[in-house]
Amino acid sequence: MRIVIVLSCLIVIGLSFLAIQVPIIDIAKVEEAINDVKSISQVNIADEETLKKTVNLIVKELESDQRTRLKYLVSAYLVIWLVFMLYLLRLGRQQQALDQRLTQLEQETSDSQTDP
Amino acid sequence: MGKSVKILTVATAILLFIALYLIFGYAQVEKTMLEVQKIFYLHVSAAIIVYLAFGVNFLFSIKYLIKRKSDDDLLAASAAEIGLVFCTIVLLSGPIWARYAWKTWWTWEARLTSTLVLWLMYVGYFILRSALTEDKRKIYSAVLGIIAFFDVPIVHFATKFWETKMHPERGSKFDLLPTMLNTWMTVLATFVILFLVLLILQYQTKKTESRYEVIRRKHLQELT
Repeated sequence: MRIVIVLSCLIVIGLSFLAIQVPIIDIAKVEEAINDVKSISQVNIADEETLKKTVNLIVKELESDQRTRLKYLVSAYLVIWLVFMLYLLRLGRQQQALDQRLTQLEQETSDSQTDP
Repeated sequence: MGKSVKILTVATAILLFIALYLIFGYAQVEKTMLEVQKIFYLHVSAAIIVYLAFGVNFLFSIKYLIKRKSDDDLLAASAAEIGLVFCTIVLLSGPIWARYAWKTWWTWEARLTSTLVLWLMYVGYFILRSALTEDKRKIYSAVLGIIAFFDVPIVHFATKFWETKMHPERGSKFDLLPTMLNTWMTVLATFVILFLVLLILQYQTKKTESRYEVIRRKHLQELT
């Protein structure tokens, strides 16, 4: 039971890490792509600053969308984990209580046998 | 815990890790739902285990009514309990998917409603079991288990019966990529083994409990 709890806690930590992880969109790659577009584009890009600002705005929007999606994903997995954990804990407690009752019964029967 | 159960438990734990790795490290990201689609692997697999668990409950309830063996009643109750856990998972993970896909946590769509009814019926099954005396409990819960199972095909065919557009229609063509399909199959296999492990553990606990009650009653009779 303890192993299960420890292992599942590790999963939860992993999931939480996933939820706060740095978004997959790589700014360096975005810069590279802008430069590529500029080099092959026939159109003269007059205002480079405006272009960069627009791209950064889009990147931020994409990052925010991704964070939202990850939040949904992680909450679903956490809910599933929680349900399993509660069920396993209940099962563990049930067995523990049963063991205690059995020990008590054993004691009672041995006491009644030794009594004259 | 027997040796075979221990081996199964360890195998389940390892398979769970492999399944999680496949979900996050191997399966491609789906193009429409993107990362949220990864809920599908656990949600749909859990739904299939619900069918399996309530199916086991149905079969052992019938067997109990025919043969009147207490073991069948215990197995039926154990399967129903695990089915209820998986059904809870389906009902809780579904709305998270729905919030992203349909922009609502809940809608009274045929499959959702019939699944909620299924969950409520099995909650009723356990309320009934706890409310009745032992002899009545076994018979009445077996009957309720058989009746409640008739909601399973309703859940499964709901999209066809009511032609809802939210859940994909039963038998609709799979458009899962091979990596997604492999991942889903692994998760499903893991859940089936997990179900078996939980069923064995739950059954053993219930059986020991029932034996304890018999011994305790005998002991009390001896004392008086």
